[in-house]
Amino acid sequence: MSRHRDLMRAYDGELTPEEAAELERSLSDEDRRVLAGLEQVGDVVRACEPEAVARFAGVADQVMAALGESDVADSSGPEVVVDRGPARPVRKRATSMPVVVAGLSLAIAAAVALWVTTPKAPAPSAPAPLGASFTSPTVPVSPSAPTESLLEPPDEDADLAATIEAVDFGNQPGSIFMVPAGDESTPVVWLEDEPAGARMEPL
Amino acid sequence: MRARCWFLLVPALLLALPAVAEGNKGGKAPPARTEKPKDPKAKDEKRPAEVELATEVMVLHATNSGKGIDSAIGKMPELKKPPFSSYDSYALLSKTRLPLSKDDKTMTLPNGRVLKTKLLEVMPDKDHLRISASINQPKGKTFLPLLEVKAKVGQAFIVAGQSYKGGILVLVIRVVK
Repeated sequence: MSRHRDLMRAYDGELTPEEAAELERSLSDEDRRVLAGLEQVGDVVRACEPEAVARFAGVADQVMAALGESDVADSSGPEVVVDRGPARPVRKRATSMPVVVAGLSLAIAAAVALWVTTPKAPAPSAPAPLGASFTSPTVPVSPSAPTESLLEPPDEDADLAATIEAVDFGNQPGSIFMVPAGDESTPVVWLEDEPAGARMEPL
Repeated sequence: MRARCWFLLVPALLLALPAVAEGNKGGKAPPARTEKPKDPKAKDEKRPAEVELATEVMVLHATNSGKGIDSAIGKMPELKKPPFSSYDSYALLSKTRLPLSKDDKTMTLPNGRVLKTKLLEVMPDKDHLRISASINQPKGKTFLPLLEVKAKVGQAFIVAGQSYKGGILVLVIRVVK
């Protein structure tokens, strides 16, 4: 590995005269083939350089134009482009920015549109209770809450039956349910009363 | 510079879309909103309707005395369905008409409690009503503090469960004209 590095340094002219002379004396046939290969690689790179420069020169112009740096626009020569580093990252930045901005804008617009078009729930007006719904035959309601509220019934159900909108069972347990009556249903409020003898009769 | 303008133009156009949508939506909203404001004069217009409306309260006594369903009760298929079917006898104790108004209308039940009904409002469609009912125990605790029902003429609701003479009371409350 170090031998190849020495050969590359020798090819690039980085060796001291003493090191170069010593390497020259110890060159084997394989070393000479490696040096010849390096020469060929160098030829290829030099041959491709103008093409690569010309390929990325337009990108640099576009970037400079986008940035509005008119003073840098003159630096469209091949050397300037190569010195500024690889052209690929610059090109990626120039094309991704509009996409990012457009994407963010679309997301914001979609969110705002959803927020605007979604129907707002009416603010609850205390202490007005909510509506009661009886789409199922039996809707038990816990008696623990002072005021029980259920959902608003569909319009078609509202026409078929009365609707319990709110109920306060007080201290005793109770339930709400629907009893079918032909095509219609009748809401029932059922209270669990204590035995007649256990409560105080009116005077 | 052209690219910079594009950066600003695209978000501006996209953000303007919801505003346009809101504008279109707003055009449809006013008709619905115009129904909500309550005009005092409108209440006065409903006064005649309130006078005509009433609740018919049938007080039934459910027992298992084997007497069957009183024919005076009329057609009530609910009584043959659970949980009412757990009683085999229903007797009509009273049928009382309570005018519906913004003021409380009361009637005394056989067990001494007092049923109170009140008209809360006539719905905008002038077909449905919101009425409240409560059952109080004189000199005692409130049995059913609050019950609010939305119904239209002919529809009924039932309040049942009060203990009475070996059975229960079943109150069938129907909106009538």
